[in-house]
Amino acid sequence: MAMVEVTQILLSAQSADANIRQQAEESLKQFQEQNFAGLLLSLSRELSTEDKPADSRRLAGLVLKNALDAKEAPRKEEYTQRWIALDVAAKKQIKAALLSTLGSVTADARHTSAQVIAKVAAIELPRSEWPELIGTLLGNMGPLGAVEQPTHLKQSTLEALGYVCEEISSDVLAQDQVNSILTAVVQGMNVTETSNEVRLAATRALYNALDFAQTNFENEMERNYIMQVVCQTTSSPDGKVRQAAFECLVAIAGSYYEKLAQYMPEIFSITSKAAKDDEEPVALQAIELWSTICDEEIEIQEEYEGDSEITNYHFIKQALPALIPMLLETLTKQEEDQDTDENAWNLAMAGGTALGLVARTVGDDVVPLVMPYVQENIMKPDWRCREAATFAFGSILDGPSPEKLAPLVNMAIGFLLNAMKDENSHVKDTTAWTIGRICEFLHGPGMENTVINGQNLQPIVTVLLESIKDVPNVAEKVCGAIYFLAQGFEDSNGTSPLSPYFQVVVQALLATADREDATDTHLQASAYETMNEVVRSSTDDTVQVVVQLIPVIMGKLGATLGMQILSADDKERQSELQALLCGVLQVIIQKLGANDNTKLGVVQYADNLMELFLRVFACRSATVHEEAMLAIGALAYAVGAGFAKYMPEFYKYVEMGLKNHEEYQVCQVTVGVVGDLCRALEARVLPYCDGIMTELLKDLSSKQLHRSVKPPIFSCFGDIALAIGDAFEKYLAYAVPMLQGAAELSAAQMGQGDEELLDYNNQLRGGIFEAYSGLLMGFKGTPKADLLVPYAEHIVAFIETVYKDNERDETVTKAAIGVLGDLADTLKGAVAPLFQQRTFWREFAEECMQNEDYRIKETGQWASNVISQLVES
Amino acid sequence: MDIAELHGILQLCLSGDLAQRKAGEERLKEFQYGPGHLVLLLQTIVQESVDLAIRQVASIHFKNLVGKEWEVDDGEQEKFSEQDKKIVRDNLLEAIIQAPHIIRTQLGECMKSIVHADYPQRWPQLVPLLDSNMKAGAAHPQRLYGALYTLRILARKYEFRDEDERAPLVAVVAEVFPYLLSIFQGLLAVPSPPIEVAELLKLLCKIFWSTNYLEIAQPLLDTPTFTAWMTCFHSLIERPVPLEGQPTDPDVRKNWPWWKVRKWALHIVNRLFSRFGDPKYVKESQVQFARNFSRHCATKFLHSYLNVLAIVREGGYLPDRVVNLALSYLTTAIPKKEPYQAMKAHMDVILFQIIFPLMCFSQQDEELWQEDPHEYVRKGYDIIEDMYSPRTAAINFVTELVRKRGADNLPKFITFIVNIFTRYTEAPPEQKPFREKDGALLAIGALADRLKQQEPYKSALEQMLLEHVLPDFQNSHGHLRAKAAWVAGQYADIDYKNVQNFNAQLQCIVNCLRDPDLPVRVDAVVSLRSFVEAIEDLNLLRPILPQLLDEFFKLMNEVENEDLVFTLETIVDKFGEEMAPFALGLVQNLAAAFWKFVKADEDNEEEDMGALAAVGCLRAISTILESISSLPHLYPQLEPILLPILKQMLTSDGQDVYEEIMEILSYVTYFSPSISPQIWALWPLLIESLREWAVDYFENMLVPLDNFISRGTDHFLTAEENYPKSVYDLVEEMLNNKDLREPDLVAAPKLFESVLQNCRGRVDAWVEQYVKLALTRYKTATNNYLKTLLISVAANALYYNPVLCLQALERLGATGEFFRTWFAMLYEAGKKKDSFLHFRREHDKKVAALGLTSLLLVPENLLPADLQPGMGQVVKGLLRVLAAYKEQRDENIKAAEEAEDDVDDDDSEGFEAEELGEGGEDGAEIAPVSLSDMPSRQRKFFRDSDDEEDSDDDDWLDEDEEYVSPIDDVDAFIFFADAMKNLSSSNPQRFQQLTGALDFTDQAKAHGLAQYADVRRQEFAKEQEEKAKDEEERRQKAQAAR
Repeated sequence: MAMVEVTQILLSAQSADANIRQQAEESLKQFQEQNFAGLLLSLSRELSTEDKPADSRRLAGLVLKNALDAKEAPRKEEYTQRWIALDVAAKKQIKAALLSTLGSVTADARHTSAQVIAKVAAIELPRSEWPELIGTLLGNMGPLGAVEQPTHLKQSTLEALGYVCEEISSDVLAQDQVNSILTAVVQGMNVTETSNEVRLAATRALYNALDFAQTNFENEMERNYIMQVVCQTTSSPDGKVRQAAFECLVAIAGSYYEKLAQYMPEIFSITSKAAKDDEEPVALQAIELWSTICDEEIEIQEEYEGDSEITNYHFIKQALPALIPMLLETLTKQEEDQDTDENAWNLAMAGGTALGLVARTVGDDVVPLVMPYVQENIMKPDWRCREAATFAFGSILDGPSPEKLAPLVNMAIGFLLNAMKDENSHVKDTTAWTIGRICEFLHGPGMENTVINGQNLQPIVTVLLESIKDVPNVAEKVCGAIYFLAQGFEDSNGTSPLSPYFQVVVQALLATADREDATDTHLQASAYETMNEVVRSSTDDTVQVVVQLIPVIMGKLGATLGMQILSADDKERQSELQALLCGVLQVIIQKLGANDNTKLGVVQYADNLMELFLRVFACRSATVHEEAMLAIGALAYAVGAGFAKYMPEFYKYVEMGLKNHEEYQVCQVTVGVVGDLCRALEARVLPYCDGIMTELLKDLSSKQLHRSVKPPIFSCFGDIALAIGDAFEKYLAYAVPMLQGAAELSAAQMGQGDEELLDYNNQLRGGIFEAYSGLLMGFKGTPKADLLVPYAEHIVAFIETVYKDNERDETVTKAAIGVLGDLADTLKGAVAPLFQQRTFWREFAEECMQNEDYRIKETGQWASNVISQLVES
Repeated sequence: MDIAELHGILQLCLSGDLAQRKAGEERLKEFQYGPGHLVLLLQTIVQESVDLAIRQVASIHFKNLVGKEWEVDDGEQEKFSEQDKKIVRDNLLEAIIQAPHIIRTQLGECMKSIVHADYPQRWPQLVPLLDSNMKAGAAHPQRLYGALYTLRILARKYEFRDEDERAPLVAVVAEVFPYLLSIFQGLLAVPSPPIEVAELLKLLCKIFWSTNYLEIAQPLLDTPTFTAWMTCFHSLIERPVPLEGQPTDPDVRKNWPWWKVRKWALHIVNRLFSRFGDPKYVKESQVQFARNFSRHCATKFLHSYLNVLAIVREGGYLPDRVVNLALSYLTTAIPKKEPYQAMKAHMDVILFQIIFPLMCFSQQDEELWQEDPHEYVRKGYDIIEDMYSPRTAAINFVTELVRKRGADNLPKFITFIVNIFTRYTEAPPEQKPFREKDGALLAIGALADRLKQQEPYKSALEQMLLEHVLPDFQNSHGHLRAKAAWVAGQYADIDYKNVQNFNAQLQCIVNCLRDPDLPVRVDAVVSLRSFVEAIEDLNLLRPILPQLLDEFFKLMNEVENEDLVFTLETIVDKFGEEMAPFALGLVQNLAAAFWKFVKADEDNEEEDMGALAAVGCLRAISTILESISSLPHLYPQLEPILLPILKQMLTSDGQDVYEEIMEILSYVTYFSPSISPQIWALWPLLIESLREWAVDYFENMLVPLDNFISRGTDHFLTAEENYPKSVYDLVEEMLNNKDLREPDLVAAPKLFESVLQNCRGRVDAWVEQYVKLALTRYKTATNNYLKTLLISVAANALYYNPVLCLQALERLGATGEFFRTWFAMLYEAGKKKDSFLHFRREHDKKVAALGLTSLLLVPENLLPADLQPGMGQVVKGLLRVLAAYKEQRDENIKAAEEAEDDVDDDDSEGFEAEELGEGGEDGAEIAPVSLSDMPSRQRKFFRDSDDEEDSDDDDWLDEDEEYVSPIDDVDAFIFFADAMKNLSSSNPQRFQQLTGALDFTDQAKAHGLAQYADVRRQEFAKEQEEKAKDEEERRQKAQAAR
């Protein structure tokens, strides 16, 4: 195989001169097309040759890596196949070069090589190729404690092992390979290992290998050994190593919660030491460990309550008396500018977050342990103390019972309102956040111990409306508080305690959104999002304010069309603002459209709104505006059949949306809007159906389109059929095979895969059933109903497989039994033999009638009646 | 022979004349293996025209033949031609279908034998045949019955089989279950069903039971099928048992088919609930079933059970067993969240209207007390009886309820009991509620553990005893006296504020020993044990001790009851040295009685009573010997009494009492201060009896032999009798005796082990011969346990002296082969992955570990060249053995801790015995009795009775923590850790070489074991200290006594 001299090309590719760069890239591309194997060989030789320049070696590795992997799944698959097709001898040579590079004295080369090895492994190991890889890597480590292998070789070997584990899924490795990895890892982490780099690489490799070690964690001795090695490593002299060790502990707590009991004393002692004294990145991980344990216990409490298979060890509850002081101590370690930086993360925040999780884990028990701290610090002259006390208080508002919290909050609220005038803006920020939490968790309809009442509502609103003018980060928290305050009144009828303030609140929010400093921060978005919530909470006596809001928002949306666009940033800002405003309009349309009395308030603006939305569409080039699309869907719903007059103009954007495979959310939203259109227009949607159906069928066949769009498309078939009845006839020959194909896919996926796949499968089945239901109901009573008879058998068979699946969820159950009933109801005697033959429907209907959900119960009852009549007559 | 001739012979067998009958049977025997004989018999059996009596006798003969001779051992000549066998197989089912009941049972036994031998390999057609008959069953109920009857036999074959042996059953289940379900549903739908339907349902239930006993059958893992079956059982339990046709005789009535069906349904549901109903306790494959059961059935069935029990409350009839089963279900439900919530709503009714009435003294109790007091006592102390009793179930329910859900229920239950007490006290004599009082006392006694711990009850107990128990010792109703004695015993150990109250109770108990009613006396003796344990001032008893023992032996003569012996042991234990005078007298009396019985036995051939009584005497002597074990100086005094018995009974005269004799000899050789020449003189007798006739008792004999070697080591090694040679000769003879079964030989290598361990460093000359003999015999051994023990002889030799042993192996040219074999055995896994097929006991693993560790101590230059490269493997193997040894230790320690409160309530076998009558294989089903339930003397000296290698689960009887061995003083973990430490400092390079190549799992083991060795170091030092202290105490006590 012809080798290519690539050094110069690679160096040129990094040249400062764009021309030279481009030329080099061009020739690389050329090589790749003409002699792919040769190029890879040359690159691997470049990478492995010690006397080549470091730069060209590094880039050789990168190019190699990029030839093996890509982000997008189709391309990745293509690269995988390309590698597999490569000549065996060439692959062998490349792999040998890569492995030899692990011993290179050039750090970059070693490191890149480790990455490339992992990419090759990701392709080959699942195909049971390269079986000797793990063993070879283990060999690099040399026997335990024996004559030293070179430090850099050990380091890069461990790095490679770590990357390999990261790349492949845990079922790929056999247990003896896992053991080999662990052998190498514990050797690298051993206290006798003097090199921090090696220990760090080993610890990180362990982190990646943990998922593979399930069998080892089952065995007590092996688990003890791993745990001891990890715990020991948390006291390494090197901060990075300690951090990595804690990261391992965090991962272990997440994956092996049920095995932790015997290590808790040790875990407590090392984490509290780290949280107290260690450098921040390490301390953060120590705190994170406790948050993770909280997460586990919360999950057990919420998801597995009463499930005797999963034990809650109540570690948090047991550790509480010591854990709380440890967390509280972190709260005063704030940074000076933490409020203004959105992504700020520091010890105090981690501590507060952990405290919040602890509160959710143990509930009431946390209160007596935290309140003394709050009381002691809240008045202190040092702002750090005041802020920490407030933060602590705010953190425990979710978890403990309202009975326990309400008296405390009632006492505190006056104090908090005062604190909104604190001299320190951190304190104000946290106070506003805390008030927001109070509104979120201790206020709301049907809540017995709601803390917002006739007496304190007025002062609260007053203070909030005052503080919303404060610096942006405080104002933003205030918006949050208003959001939850409004949400708590959402279910009011006729009038709401908030009604007297409705107008001023709306005005304050509009003013906030208009603030000069609002656009640079998240404040503008917060203001509008809060506005949405306020609108949703409006009542009869404030509906007029909402109607009046329509022209105001329309005006703002119109103004965006005239914004000066000079840069991509400008374009983006315009788009964001349009999204927010369309969102507000959508909420208003929905709110007003939901009620016949208020619908008119929207409909009167329908023409203007439509015109505006179409202009918003028009100002973008290729893609469709999601939020505008959603707003139009809502408008169609409100306007009903009258929406037909907008269709000629609007239709092209529908088509555009359905064609947008790259931004699948846009496509998904559009599919939903098609459903809205069908319901609004009914038979009048017919003229557009050819086009819509064509696009939907294309969507279904697209490999590129995200799979989550497909179930809604099936539902959409149902919507269309319902709207146009037997006119759907001409699509049957295309749509039904798609449904059948999807059904087969679904049946094949049954009982496999993870939770995510399971959810998806349920969605898919739901979509399929909705489609069939729509079809059957659409054709019911028409002369063409019999056209569906040939499909009945397949449908029933599919339902039977679904019936036997334990993993079907309630929605699917209801849809499935519904379709059975629809079949009988629509197709009558033509399907009687089918039901006589496949009797599972009896048990299925029986099961549904036992269901606690009355809708399922009724559907089951109905289906059973329809089918019984059919079968018995 | 033709069929007519056969009928003639069978007719003869029916003759009233003994001689004729014998002649007929002789003739039958002549022909029994003749070609076509089986076929002729079967023809006779099915021919309706033949006289039924002849058919019956033919069927019995047929059954016996098939049962004994159908299956032959490997290598043996087949008794029947394959052609005959085929005809029998082809026609048997049809015969069962057609046969009248009396003949069917015989044929069923045949079916059982044939299915066991031939299914599935030689009889694949059976299931299709059953299938077609079942399907024909709709029109011919008899066909259906026959098919189900046979299916049940087939299912039962696999009832206790483990997962890996169940494959044939799984296939059958897959084939027939769907149809069974539809039969089930069909039968349930029959309106006002005739009794035959009940019989069919019963068979269905039994088939279901057998197929789901150990594992849930595959079809039930499918939710809809599961639901359908459960719905069937549910409606079976819910439907009322027909009133019409119920027999009036209670014994017949409880066995009425409809009641039996009900019973089976409950039995099945209980089993599903308790064994498979909790996702936490089932294996992966059954989780779905458990989830379904706990979510959809547990509470639903609970309601049905409550409906069933409502009959008790309404005074209706329910068989005892049904009540018992229903209550067990409720008991199982107590700790489970949802079912308990459902039950809680009805708790008052359950407790006060169902449970409590069952605890009261009933009319039947009263009758039995009057008519047959012996039976009354037997029933009261019989474990099996307990299993069926509604009363035991009621007590279990209450104790479990109080244990798990005490806060909800204990206060109100106690209030209820106290009310009964008060009512009883206040009522005028003629209106006192005697029976309720009895029940209330039972309840109080049953809750003793709880009430003794918990305030406010705890501090009210003394007053309660005074007010409500003490007066009943004077009650005119015997049962209340007995109950008072029992309750008093339950509370004998509370802290009495006033010691006079304790004394008063004790006095009452002592008085009860002379009560006119036998049950009162027995309860009093049993209760006395608790008082003796709790007593602080022995002076209360001291004066009456002789009299007490007197009463005691009288009672022992009257009833056989282990609990009585426990009391005797307690007394002896408590009085220790004071027993000395009595011991001598007692043993003298017993010995005299023994000789008397033996003589009577010789004189009077007819009755075996004498022999039985003689055994009783020896057992009593054993008890006394054990009780005075802390007083060794008494043994020499007893020796002259015992020696004549021992001597005589070591001859063939002792065949009936050999085990007892071995036990006595074990005590004498173990507890005497030293083994006297007279006792040593028994050695040749022992060896002789073993050679002559006592080989079945080799294991029992091992105990005294081991005592001779361990306690008389010097004499053993130096006496001119040359005992080591005697041992070698004996073992050689045994191991080379082809007539002996391998399981009977296990004592032989154990004897070598005893010598090697006890005489460490002192029998160098024998090592090579021992090893040679063991390894030679190993080559032909097939029994796994024997193989383990033989190879362990070499391991013991390594531990004895590794260099010497290696040299011996080299000389024998066996080094390579021995190590290959040994390691292959160490790595051969049992049924579970990574388990040990060999070296199953802790002890075996320890010996292997000691042997392997010893190798590490051998200087490199003394290692055979063959072995050098394999030393890494030695370390790996050693780690494997030690890790498994540790795990097993941990498990056994945990199991021992848990055994206390976890009594196996698996109650199937009594049920089966009842159903199958004479069914022969039931022996295998006896529920394991935990070690702690055994009388201690059986434990102490009989090391292990691991006779076959057939099960992984027999380890419970495998280990005996009290067996004393010289290697008890060595801890394998410490020994290992020390050896490693030693190696790492003396030869770091070799150490590095051996440990550097270990992979992760072995590193983890090495690391874990090193840590464990540190733990053990502390524990072990403490253990040794305690042991030394105990021995010192014993010594001082013995000296003081002298």
